[in-house]
Amino acid sequence: MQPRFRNWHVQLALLPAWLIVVFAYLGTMVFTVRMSFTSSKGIPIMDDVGLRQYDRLFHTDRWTISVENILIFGLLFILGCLVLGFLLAVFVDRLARFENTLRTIFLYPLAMSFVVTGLVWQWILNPALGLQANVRNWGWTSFTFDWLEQGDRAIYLVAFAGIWQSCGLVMAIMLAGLRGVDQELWKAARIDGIPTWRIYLHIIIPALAPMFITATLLLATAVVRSYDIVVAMTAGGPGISSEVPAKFVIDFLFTRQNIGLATAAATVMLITVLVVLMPWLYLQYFRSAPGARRAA
Amino acid sequence: MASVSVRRLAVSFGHVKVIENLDLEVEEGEFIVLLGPSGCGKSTLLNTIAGLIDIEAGQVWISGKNVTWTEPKDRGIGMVFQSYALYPRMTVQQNLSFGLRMAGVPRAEIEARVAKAAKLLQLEDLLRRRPAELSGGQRQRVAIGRALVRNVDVFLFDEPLSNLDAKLRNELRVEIKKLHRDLGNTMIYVTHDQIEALTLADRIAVMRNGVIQQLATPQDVYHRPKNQFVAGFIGSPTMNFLTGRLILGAAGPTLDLGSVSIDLSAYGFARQSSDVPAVLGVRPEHIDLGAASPGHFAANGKVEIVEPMGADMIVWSRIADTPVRIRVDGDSAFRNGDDIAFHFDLARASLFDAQSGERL
Amino acid sequence: MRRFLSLGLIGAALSLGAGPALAQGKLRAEIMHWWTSGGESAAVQEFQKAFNAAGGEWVDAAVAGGGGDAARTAFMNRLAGGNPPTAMQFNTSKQFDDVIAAGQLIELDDVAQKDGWKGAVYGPVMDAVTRNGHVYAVPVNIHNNIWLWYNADVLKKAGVAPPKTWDDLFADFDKVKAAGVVPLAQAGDNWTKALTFFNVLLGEAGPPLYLKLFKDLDADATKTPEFKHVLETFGKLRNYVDNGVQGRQWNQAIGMVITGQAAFNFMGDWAKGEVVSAGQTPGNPVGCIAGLGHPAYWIGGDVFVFAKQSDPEAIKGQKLLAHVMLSKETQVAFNAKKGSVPARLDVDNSKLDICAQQGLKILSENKDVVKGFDLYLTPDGVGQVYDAIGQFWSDPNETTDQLAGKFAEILKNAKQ
Repeated sequence: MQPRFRNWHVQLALLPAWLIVVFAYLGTMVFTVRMSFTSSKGIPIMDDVGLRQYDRLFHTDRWTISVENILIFGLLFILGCLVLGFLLAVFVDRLARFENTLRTIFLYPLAMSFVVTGLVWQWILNPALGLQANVRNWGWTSFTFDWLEQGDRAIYLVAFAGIWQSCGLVMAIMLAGLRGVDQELWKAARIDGIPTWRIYLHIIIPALAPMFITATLLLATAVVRSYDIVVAMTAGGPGISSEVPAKFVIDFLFTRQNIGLATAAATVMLITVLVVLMPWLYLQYFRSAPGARRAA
Repeated sequence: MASVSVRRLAVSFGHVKVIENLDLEVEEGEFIVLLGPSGCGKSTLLNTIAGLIDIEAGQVWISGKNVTWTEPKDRGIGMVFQSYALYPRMTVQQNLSFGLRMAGVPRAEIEARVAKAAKLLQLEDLLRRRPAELSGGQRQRVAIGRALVRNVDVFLFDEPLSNLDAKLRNELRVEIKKLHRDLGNTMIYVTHDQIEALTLADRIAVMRNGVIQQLATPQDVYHRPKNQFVAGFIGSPTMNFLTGRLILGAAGPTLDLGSVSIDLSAYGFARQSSDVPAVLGVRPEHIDLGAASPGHFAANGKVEIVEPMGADMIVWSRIADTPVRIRVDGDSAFRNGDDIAFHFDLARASLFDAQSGERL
Repeated sequence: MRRFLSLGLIGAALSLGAGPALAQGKLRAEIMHWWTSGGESAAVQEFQKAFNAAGGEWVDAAVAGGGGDAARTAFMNRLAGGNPPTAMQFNTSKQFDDVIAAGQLIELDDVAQKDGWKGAVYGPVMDAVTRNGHVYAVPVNIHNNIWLWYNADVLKKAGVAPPKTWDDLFADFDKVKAAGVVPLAQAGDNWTKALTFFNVLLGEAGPPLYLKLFKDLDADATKTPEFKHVLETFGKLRNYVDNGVQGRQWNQAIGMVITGQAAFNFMGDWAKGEVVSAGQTPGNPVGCIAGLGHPAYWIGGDVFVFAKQSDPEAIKGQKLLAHVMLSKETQVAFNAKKGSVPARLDVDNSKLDICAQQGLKILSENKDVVKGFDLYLTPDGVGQVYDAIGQFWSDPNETTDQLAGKFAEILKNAKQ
């Protein structure tokens, strides 16, 4: 019997998985790209208007602002989470006695959805209700913190809330990494007289490179998906100053009833992610290829 | 002048006293091995000398200075660890030079020291590699090199060979011995391996439960163990112990084993004693086969088990119902049940108080 | 020809029997709407009572948020999934044109014929629910979106009278501000800012410019000095709000006027529902001005549409609901709570409050009555207007010329 037919029942068992991949993932992807070349409004139709939707997309202020915002948000969010998450992990690691308490505190925000995070911070940062109003009530009447009201500042607050929510996750990852660091490495560095911050900078952080890559990937997917935190915290405002691409897609898909433009935006997002991921995927493949030099 | 001096040292982890009232004097250029089973406090003692563990009481002096509260880097020590503890993302070159750069040593000086250490340890071809690209033996040589470039008086080794396979361990052991010969530094070396201890040490400190049982040359530790623990811990195969009662009769001292009595006239007593329960220790390699020489204790027995070990062979027999191991030549031909005659020299045996374990 | 991909119909065929069914002899109907604020839900109770009394069973499916955005999104999803609710609320606008074009709605011609909608319902509203001679929706009310609400007590305390002109308004603003009260309560959503903008456009410039812009889609009208003046006035309003705009809902904004925290608020007459549910009578102390400068009526309102169903009983329920919603008694009861005017004019309007009377007068004169801009623009176009206005409001560096340019672009696109 041919060996490839001997496992037919295994192939059969995998069939549903294959069907899901082909139809649910690839199928919808192809359909989305196809729709971006149509003039579909509220209901999908199958005509062909070429690149008209893309032309409009790149001439739409809202899209340009969304792209700018996702870059600002992404950069601040990822860097902020990595830096703060690592510092928290160091802090918890050095205060081993209170580790359980501290870890719970820092991980708590993660138990909240982005929606709740956004709402809570919207209340706190709302000048008329939250921080500013309270400080003024205490007597500092000139105190002003109204970034949420300022078009060019709101996205920074969104990034801040995102960092607040997600840095606990990074902390947990980094803490696991720190725990894996050989204790003798610390001793060796102390004998060498290396200052503690330099030990972290030159020895520990390089040793935690895989943790940083994992955390960055997790955070990057959160950035691409970022929608709920913006909706809950600013609803894209003031005006359209804190819009993000995912919200653009959803709004035009449903409320604005312009499926053509929405799918064009979704396609641009897909291509961007692929372009960013390609070198990394290639590198992964390249590095894990047989013959990688590594002595035992 | 003592190179390293530990005085009335006490160390506790929480409520557990690991070391209490310990004294140790290490001479300049001496190679001291701290030997003992795991949990005996030998690594703790070494870490205390390095300044990596806070002490509860006592003092540590290195090269004539009280360094009890001095930072590890300022104690004039270099240290090598079991896990090598190399800086993972740095090349060998960077591993060797990093500490010096942090200390602000001039660049030319760093290069000279690194080059010297690399030459001494045959690391010259590996300078551009990262630790992940090195074998275990190479990694440990780099770790030694990192201690070497510090130009210090005292080297501390914390079980440096335990992670290596037997062959590499033997090779590196010789290298360390050569290193000591060439450099002449004071070295304190922790191990649980008695072969390492016996081959390397000028003096061995055998430790148990945070207490140094005996601090002596390898010969003394081997031939004149201070107590039954040291006697049993050193030597392979283990020393034979015959338990009986010491009787100081008119005809001279004897050890009464019940059915057999051993004449102890030839034994050199370490101190005065009375009639007490006692244990006689005889090393397997000190028992000879054949007709007895004068003054030796002689016995007959049957071969019970034979363990060939290549160069040697261990033959199990009995004296007064106590099993004894006899080390014979590897070429001997014995079968179970063979009748054998054997004897040993009481001058080379050790006698211990059965209760305190102290040498009599 | 456009070929429609009738996802919804395929879905409906797959989920036969999942629709509304006859429960214990009652005609069960699931009604989706976005009336969730205090005044609104009190009004919707009136529909429920009337429908249940007529032998139906009202299943409420309210979806809050975004001035109906969330509810409309939910409806579109359920329609595409083949499980639409029995009835769905829309604004009197183009919002449901796509659904009609896709053949997803039932026609209500027989109910309209039998109940005599044609003569009774206010003409422009009847036009708004008719496509190609067929009636597709039940109009349930007429809203005027163009109202300025003020708190008379606050004005009195600041020593000013209710404004007659825009100059009066800004003079009042300054005095009120000096008295330590927020002059203008503004909500954060872009559609509420757009509503404020249309108050300025219709009140200051009058209906002709509005019609030229949105009915005729005349991009040149954006270059007129009148329009520039409108934009400048609108821009000036930003100086009189507090800095809690972002994140504030429309009902919180009118609430500020009701409680005296703020003096003025631009909002449609559904704001009156909040006044009533706060236990106040419209006119005291919260007064109303329909179109400051030029009294005007921007017809807005709500309609209900009925998605096609496979179950004949369900269709019976839909027709019963349509009948009940537009019956005279229900209309009076509902609109008294909702703050709007009944969709049919042949009912007793004497009991309506003074704000409603003010609106009715404009309606009956039929001179300064305009249709909402969402009847002229697609949801996409409406969204572009919201974006442009929202962006202008939040960016102090944007000039009125830039905003006018954006309007010109939107109108040009809409004309294609």
